[in-house]
Formats: sequence, C-alpha cells, structure tokens
Amino acid sequence: MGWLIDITEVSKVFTGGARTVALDDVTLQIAAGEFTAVMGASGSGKSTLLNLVAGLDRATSGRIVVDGIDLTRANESQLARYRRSHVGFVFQFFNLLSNLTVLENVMVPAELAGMRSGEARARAAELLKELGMADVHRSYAANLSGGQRQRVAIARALINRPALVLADEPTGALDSRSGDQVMGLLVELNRRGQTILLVTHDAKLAAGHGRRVVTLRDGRVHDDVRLQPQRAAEPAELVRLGGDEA
Amino acid sequence: MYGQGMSLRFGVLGLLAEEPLHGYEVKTRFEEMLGGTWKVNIGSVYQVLQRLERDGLVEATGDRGDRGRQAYRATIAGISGLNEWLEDPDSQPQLLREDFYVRLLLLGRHPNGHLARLLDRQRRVYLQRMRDLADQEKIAREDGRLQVALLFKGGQLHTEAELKFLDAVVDEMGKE
Repeated sequence: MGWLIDITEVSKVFTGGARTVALDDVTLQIAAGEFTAVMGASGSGKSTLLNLVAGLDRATSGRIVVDGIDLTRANESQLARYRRSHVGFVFQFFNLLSNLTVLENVMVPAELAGMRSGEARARAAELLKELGMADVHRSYAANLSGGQRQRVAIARALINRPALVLADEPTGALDSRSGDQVMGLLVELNRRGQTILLVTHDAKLAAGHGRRVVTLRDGRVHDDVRLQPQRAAEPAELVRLGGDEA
Repeated sequence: MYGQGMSLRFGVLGLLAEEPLHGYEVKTRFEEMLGGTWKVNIGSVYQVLQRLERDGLVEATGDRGDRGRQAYRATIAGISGLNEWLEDPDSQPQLLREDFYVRLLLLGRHPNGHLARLLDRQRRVYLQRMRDLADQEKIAREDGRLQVALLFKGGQLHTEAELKFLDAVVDEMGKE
C-alpha cells in the first residue's frame, strides 16, 4: 500500500536546556484522500509532528515519507521545494501579507514555485471564485474579516495543487460561525479528494469534521479511531432533553 | 417541582399561549419544537393539562373538536406565570452521568488496567457522539432550524467537557 504520509518509529528529542522527548516512537500512516485530525493537549507532541510532516523540522530518529519524498533524508533545498510544491499550509493566524491584495497573496506560492505570472493569476482568481471570494480580489487582507482571511489562506494553500493540506488550529482565531464555515470548506475540499491533516486541541473540530481522529498523549499515539459519518441516528439517541427513559 | 416536570409544564403552557390546542396537538408540537430530542407520552401531556387547568393557568375553550377533543388556551394568569418562568435563570444542580461516575469510583479501587480501558472506550464513544452531533447540527442548519442546530451545538460543547473530564481523570488517576 502506498501511503501519502508514512511515519515510521519517529522520535524527536529537544536538547536545549532540559532534554525533552516531544515525540516518542510514533508510527502513523495516512492514505491519500483521508481527512485526519491529530488531536492532543499542549505538550502532547502534535505541533512537533506537524512541523516534521511540514518539512520545517527534522526527526531525531525514524523515517518520514510524504508524497514519495523521504523528508528524513532530504537536503535543505529539497525540503524547501517540498514545502513549496507538495504541501499547502493553513495557519491559525492566517499569515497573509498585509501589503498585498487578496489576489496577490494567493499568487505568492505559485510564483515561488515558478508558475508563470499569468497562469498564477488565473488560477488564483479561479480558486477565490470557488471559495466565494471573487468580489474581494483587490482588497487588502487587513480589510477582511477573520473568516474571509482564512478563506484567502485556504486558496493560497491550494494554489500549487498540493498533495497534502496541513491545517494548524485553522479556526483558533475565528468566531464560532466563521469557524464552522471554514471547517465546512475543508470538509468539502476533502470530499473532492484533497488529503487534509488537521492539527488541533479542539475535540469539536477533530471529531466533528475529521474522518479519523489520532490522539497524541505525551508524545505517543494514544488512540487512532475512524468515525462513522452521517449515521442515521435519531436525535433523541444523541441528546435527550427529557421524556421517558429508554 | 424541578427539572423535566417543570419544563414540560411550561413548554405546554408556552404552546397554549400561542393558540388553543388539543392534547394531541400539544404533544406533536412540543416534540417538533424540541427537534426530536424529547418523546413525550400523551398521558403525561393530559396530566400536565389537568394540573395547569386546576391551577388556573389554562382553560378549556369550550367547544369540542369533531372527535370530541377538548382544546385549551392559556389564561392571563398562565401568561404571566409563563413570563415569570422564562425570565428565571436556571439554577438547578449540574446533571452528571451517574453510571460513568459510579463505574469510575469502583474502578478507582481496582488495578489501573481496568480504569485505562474504561477511559479509552468512553473516549471513543464521546468522539463518535461528537461526530453524530455535528452531523445533526449541520442537517438542522440546512433545514433552517437554528434553535435545533444550537441544541446540537450545546450537545457538542457538553461532549467536549466530558472529554476534558476524561483527560483530567487520566492525568490524576490513570497514567499507564
């Protein structure tokens, strides 16, 4: 079986000051097309895992292969190419450039990856249209609401047709309704085949939207469960306000 | 009288403050209003209607329907009683799941392995429930039923609290 993400016996130890084992012998495989949520409290290792899969940091031991690229053996320029072309990032605080328009923000990763400007512009416009943001092309990010900014960030994450979208607490800075809309968008992208790895401390996000929930605790995989979506459950089997006991 | 009994009483009174209804109409409207989260017995509805009538909060409209069914409406006293209840904050004791707590208390006296297994299984139940509630919330929103959607959102927030509680139990009792 070819996994999109293949993590084998990965550990990460930080040695500055006190020695901290952030990840301890983690093995985890994720297939293309999955919507996996990695959940854990702060200090559980989820951010470390995200950074390793993102190619932003290196494992102390073990092996990580994403989209056929062995991140544990790649050199710095290979890692940079990997981050540009194979992964799309959605962050909690959007990380948009405030002196660029919405359209320009979305184009940045495409131009860095060497896409011609005209093509990048056309693809950025198309993505913004799909995400319901066609009317704000020329706005500056600073003038948008949080929910709009995150949708722009999602368009930016998708522009290079990444094999994997990494979402790190994508609703952490949003109100509840905007957060639901952003999650709805990620679910829809996944329905169309996009592999998504969501990292969050929030069980509502993880279990409410992910198909698979991996729980990290103290740097280890504590649980890995596939949830049944759209079970035809009677409301009263889920929430009971009152009535006769079943 | 606390809890369920009171909310059925005032739920019925609230419906009758809108328009006169027969017992069976009260039952179906009540269940509909609550998005299927409360199946109420017709016998309980008639009992509530009788008590509301005895207390002067509703009255029979006088005319019987085609099958001899009696319709009721709220009286002035009923409407003012309803308004008072609606303004009262809820100060009942927190409801906790007694089954789980009693298991927890008993398992706490046994070797850790059992406790860890219970916690893991319970956790999976809550995660699946979270997914089911999120699905139901989505359906309610798509149907334009905001209040029912919020009910399911409330369920998710409570489930989140249960999951956090399990984590707290693990931290304090269940480290393998």
